[in-house]
Amino acid sequence: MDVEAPERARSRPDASPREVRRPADDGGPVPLVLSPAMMVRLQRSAGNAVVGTLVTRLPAAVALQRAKLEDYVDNDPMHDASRMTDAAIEATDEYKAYLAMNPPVPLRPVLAEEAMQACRLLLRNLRQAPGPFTVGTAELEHFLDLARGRGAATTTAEATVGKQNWVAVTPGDVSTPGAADSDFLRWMLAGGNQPNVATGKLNCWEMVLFSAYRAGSVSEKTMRDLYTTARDAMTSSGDVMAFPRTLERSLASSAVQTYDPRKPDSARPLRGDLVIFDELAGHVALATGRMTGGRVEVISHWPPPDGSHKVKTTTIEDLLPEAGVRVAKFWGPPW
Amino acid sequence: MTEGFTAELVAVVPWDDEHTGVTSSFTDHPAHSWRVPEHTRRARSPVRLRLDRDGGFHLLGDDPSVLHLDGTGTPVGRTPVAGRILDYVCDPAGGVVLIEGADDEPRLRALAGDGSERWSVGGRFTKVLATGDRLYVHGDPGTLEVDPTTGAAGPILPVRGGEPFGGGGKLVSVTFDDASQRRGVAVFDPATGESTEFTGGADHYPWLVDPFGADGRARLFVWWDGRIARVPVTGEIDALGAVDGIAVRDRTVFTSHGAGEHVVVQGNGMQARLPVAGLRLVGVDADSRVYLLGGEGPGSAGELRVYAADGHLESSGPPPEDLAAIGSRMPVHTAWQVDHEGRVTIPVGTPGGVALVRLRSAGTPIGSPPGRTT
Repeated sequence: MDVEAPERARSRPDASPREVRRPADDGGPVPLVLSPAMMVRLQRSAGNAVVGTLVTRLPAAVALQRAKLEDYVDNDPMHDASRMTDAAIEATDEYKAYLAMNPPVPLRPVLAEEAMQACRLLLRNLRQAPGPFTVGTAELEHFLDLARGRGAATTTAEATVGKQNWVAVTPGDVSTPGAADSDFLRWMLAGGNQPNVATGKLNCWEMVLFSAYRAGSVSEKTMRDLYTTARDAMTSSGDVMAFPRTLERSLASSAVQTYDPRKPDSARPLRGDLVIFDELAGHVALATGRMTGGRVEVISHWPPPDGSHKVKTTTIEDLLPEAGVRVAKFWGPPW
Repeated sequence: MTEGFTAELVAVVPWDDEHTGVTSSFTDHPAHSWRVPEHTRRARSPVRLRLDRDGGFHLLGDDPSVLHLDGTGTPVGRTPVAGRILDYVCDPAGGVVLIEGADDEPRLRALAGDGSERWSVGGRFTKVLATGDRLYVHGDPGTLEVDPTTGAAGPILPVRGGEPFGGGGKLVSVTFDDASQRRGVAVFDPATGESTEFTGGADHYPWLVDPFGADGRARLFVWWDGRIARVPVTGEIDALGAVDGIAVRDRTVFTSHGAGEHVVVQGNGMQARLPVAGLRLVGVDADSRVYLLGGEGPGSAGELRVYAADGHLESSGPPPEDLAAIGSRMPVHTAWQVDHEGRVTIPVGTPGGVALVRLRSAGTPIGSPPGRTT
């Protein structure tokens, strides 16, 4: 078992001095300390079950060192929000603070997976922020809202697998939306009806937007404003790529990260992230936050890789060769 | 000869010949969700290919039938099929087992050569495969053996990892160890029930992203940015060669692959190193001019470069609107097939039809495949 004495733990660069429990100076027994880094190593070598058991059955002489998410703001790629183990997240003050919000009667309780997702979003924000910021109740609630909104949008998208019909959208469709194939585009720009959830015609990013809308994560007005702004950008510039590129900028609320399936320490998208193949005009999918056989799962509305024009569950790895790119970009959406 | 391979033409199956050809519709290239007409070209839809245990070829285009060819590429029959086909396998007699209607209620159907149904079973299938005389189906909840005469499914097999490939009567798959974050290869032998597995290191991690087949020695074939390697369960990475573009002229196969800041074009005893990166071969004309294409994206139709036979650049610009009329289209590696001998067959769309191009790597013949009667 990877249990170290405090002095040794203190000498490690990834163990923050302020978190190291001081040995008792009253001549009593010196407690052993399990730092977050030790817990991560233990989790990697022994697995979640062992660490979980350890956390709940620690003897009095062994102290579990608490941590803040801020302690993982460094250049270690394995401290990326997507690569931290559940055990390491669960050991943080922020995770415990989320669970301590319960019971929030009459509000909705904070589920463990919501707390986990909120912590990962918070950690990503901390790592991407230009400088440190204080994490208080308001910040915790903000990231909990984000976790819930993105989770709901993703769950809604997952429920459309096998439904809807993919169509491409063209600059001509944007200019004369009443004649567009896309039900979503006609709804946004030509006063058409909301697409049918089961049979509607949409392109890839419209499926994502429609899922977020149906989940209550984004409003119809917000989406229409996005489309109107993008259309105006295309019209005023004369550049047909201005429409998707304006949308792309509007749909990013975190820094651009890259997933490279050939790099073991690559960052991976979190549940609800937009996954971009080259650029939004190429293809967009929605990350489920799951790995399947070592591949990053997404919900995708695009014919590849199987030719079906229905919404499907697939992986980034399956889509990359079809998109003709080696890596995928990803970021959090504005909802 | 391309890098590490000998490329040979098995056959060119003509488009739209109701007796000996295969039908393919035209599609947008590239096919993005934002389709800009000025950036979009006309190309042939890919045609799917399967091999049988005796070396026959079985093509599925847009028409509702599977065209059967023997090992020499001669058409020997056609089996009508229906619906959206997610996956299929064929036997040398023209029988077809396919997964149909994957969007809602997938069904595994076995058809006789004349298209009549032998049996049908429902299930959440994603892949059907055959190795030797045995038939398997993969999906939720795992990999099962299926009785080819009745469709009766056996118990879930202890196949580790992702979708398996059949090779030498065994099932080969890529594994991913969550704790160590490593990829590896697993081989399951249904005849003995034994599994063999290795967990790869840092060198294996990038190679094991894109498997596409297995040979008669149950060696996994993998693709990485145009390069092909073979990974046996003992863990060696045998880099076989590279190919990212194929063209056919007068039954001669030409290939290309990237080499740093150059594109290497080979075929008909010649090799040209052209000073451009990121383009691939799509054509060689009667005057031996070489056509390279690349750079297609949502905001660009790409660049078509034409090099004269002596290697000087003749022209450069956007490709013509009808790309299908002048260029070949090599499908992504997931459409490639590996046979018992480790030869890779690629169904390349050409202006005249589907060219079945076989890449043979250096190495010794393996011998007769299991289940084959000679």
